[in-house]
Amino acid sequence: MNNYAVVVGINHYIPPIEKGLKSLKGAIPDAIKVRDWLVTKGGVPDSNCHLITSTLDPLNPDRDLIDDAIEKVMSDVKDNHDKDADRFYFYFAGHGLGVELDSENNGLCVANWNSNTRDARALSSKDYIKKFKNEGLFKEIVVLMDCCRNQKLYFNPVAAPSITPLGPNRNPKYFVAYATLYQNEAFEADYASDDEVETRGVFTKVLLDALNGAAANGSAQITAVSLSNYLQLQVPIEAKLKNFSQEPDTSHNTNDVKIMYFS
Amino acid sequence: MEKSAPSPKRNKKQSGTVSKVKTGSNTIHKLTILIRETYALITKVKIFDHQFALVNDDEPISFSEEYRVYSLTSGKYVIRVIINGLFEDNEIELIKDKTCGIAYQHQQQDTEALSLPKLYSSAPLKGDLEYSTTHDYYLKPAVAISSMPENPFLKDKELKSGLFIFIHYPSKDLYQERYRSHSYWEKFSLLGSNGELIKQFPEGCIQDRDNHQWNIVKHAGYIGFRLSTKPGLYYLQYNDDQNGRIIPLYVYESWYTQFFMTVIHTPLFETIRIFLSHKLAFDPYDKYHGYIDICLNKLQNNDYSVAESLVRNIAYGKFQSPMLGLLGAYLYLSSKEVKENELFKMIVYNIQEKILKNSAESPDLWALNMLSYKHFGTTISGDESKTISGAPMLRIAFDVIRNAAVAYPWLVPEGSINDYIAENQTFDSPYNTFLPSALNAYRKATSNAIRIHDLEIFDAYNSSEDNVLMDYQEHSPFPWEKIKVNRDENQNKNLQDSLDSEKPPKKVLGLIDRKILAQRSAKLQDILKNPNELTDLSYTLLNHLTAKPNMSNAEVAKQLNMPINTISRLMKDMGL
Repeated sequence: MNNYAVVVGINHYIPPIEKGLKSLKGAIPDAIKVRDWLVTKGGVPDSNCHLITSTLDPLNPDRDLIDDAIEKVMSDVKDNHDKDADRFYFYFAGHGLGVELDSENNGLCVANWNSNTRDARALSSKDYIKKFKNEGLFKEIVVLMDCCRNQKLYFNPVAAPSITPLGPNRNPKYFVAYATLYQNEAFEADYASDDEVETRGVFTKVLLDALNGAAANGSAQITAVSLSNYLQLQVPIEAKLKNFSQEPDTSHNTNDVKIMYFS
Repeated sequence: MEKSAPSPKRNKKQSGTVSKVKTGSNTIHKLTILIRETYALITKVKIFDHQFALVNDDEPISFSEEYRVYSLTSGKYVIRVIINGLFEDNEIELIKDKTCGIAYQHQQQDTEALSLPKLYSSAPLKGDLEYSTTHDYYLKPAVAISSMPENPFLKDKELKSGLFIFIHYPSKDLYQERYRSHSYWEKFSLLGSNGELIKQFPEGCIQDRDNHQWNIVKHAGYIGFRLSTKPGLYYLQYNDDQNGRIIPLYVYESWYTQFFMTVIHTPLFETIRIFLSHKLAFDPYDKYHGYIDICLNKLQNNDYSVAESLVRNIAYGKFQSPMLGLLGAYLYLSSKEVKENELFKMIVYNIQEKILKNSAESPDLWALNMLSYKHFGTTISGDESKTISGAPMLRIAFDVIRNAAVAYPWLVPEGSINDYIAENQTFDSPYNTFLPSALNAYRKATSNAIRIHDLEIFDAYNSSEDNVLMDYQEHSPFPWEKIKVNRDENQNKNLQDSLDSEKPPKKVLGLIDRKILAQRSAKLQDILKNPNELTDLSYTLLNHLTAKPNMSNAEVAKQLNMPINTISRLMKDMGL
């Protein structure tokens, strides 16, 4: 299958004392695990999967790095698949901020975000999803975001650079999942793994369990419907076990006829 | 995956309309869930089958039934009961028709009671809804302190309005586990409408270590403060370098404003609850307190739908609980609903003119008029004042003012408290809270300015009290001639007339003159080379202007959803 992916995990941020955000622990391990799933069971060729994880010095990624990876994907699809590839995955783990009066939008904060730069260093989830859909290069779009959605300040994250209809897919199938509901927080927690303790995002932990088989339906298939149901059931349970309250927000345009498979 | 039969169409008081149907080997059974009325509005139910498929997606907000009926095939299910974002899962096996109850008080012997999530509130509530945070060692002091005469030797019968503030830890166990010095309470103080200090806590407060017979447990971690005071605006201040905050509190004539908040060394502003009570004493059994939570959750999530039973409770409850009335009115008027227009016209009129009468200066009531104008085309009584001074208690009220001031600049005059709040607003509570720098800036600005509407002596000049004026003129340094000349000619216009006559242009003028543009571009470069300590909003302004330097103040205000005068002030401060 002609699948592509951009996977982003950001642990490092400008610190709160400089009007930034506190550092995270789980975003990078989660991004790596998601990448691992994508290039094995997920059907994404290794060369088509762009993993971007943060570094402290230099402090990365900024917006350009992520935009460049997305543009590389789009360019490869145009050059190699006649603008008609199969599936595009976009995964983001890091800090997120809710947008006033816009429950469909969320700001995905890059590493060098702080409240001075505000809008300019956060991706608008709504606008990027619109870009992935409307550019028509893929038959299927999957967007997964493990980040908070609570509003903390006046905020209008920046739109995606250019949205131009390029490919033939006018109404691609899509699956979009936020880790939490609008105006709520997403959490990371410690999990024992072998002999060590690893911090993971609650949502991504359940997501990968689901994709590795837990979300299989009675026909032993993982579909968008079964994945959505599993996340709705299990994310709150998992969060509760860790003394948090978290409910995911999923949406898709598939049904019994227009099926989207994950296995 | 086995498919369940679709649920029957839900009708109110539906009874036994689903019969058993055999479909191959999949027998269909009826699952009935009975819900106590007070829980119906706050409870969501999700049912997952053994394949974790969601077999329903129950949104109780859209209907107000006290029982729900589902038709499901035989098998195991998980019934998830969700209240205020918390949930409990209940596993059942359906082999015949089954009835379950959610806090249902009339259930039969064979009705299975479902486990419910615990409810939390900073106010120690009792009654139909069971709150796990309601401890006697908070409830008793809260009731007792709220009803204490301020001076035990005097009965303050004359003033039938006042403030009650109760701040506490989630539990005594948590307090004792994390005990720090009682000096923590010194971070709180009560201020007047101009930011002047009225009381530095814990002075004047009852604390958990005081020796009162109703203080069951010492070191439970609370302070309670009660003050009989005249109607008007007050502020509760939390003084802290990292997390300082100002919280407006409005006292209405003949009502007591009761404030609750939970702290764990640092205040949890999202737990703020404010009630308006006719009675001095806090009533933990007031059934309308639970509905206030429903309204607050909906506002926090931008969910403006109002179910029929919630409308009913707002309509009846507003007389006993004006805060419920206010919140309900804000909810409805923020929506695009029209079917209850006549009812809500009556509701908002009664709130302003009868229930909270003589409170035209209340910012929350005044802001409601903006929504009334937007929804109905008229303000509530048609005679409200054009502008208001003072900050509202409700965050939605402030947001209404802020958003309206994008199009009607005079709603938030430059240098007013709301101008500074717009720059320093915080978002972690459904009530309006802001950074202390807003009040500090306002106090500094007002102490340096001559403001006609703040000068009591100017009012005296227009009154018959000439002697007062004569005495003042002898001693006052104010330039009286300038005051008379600067009088706003439109001062007498009311809000309705002003909104009617000063309609904003359909298109915001987006660009500025070339000369100003050149000056601005040069200044932007200077600022960017040597940035001084600017506020967050100033930096946001810089970001927008850097991207598009020729934007007018009006265009920037529209993009940021900020009052034009706030943008203008910040631009001036930066020399732009």
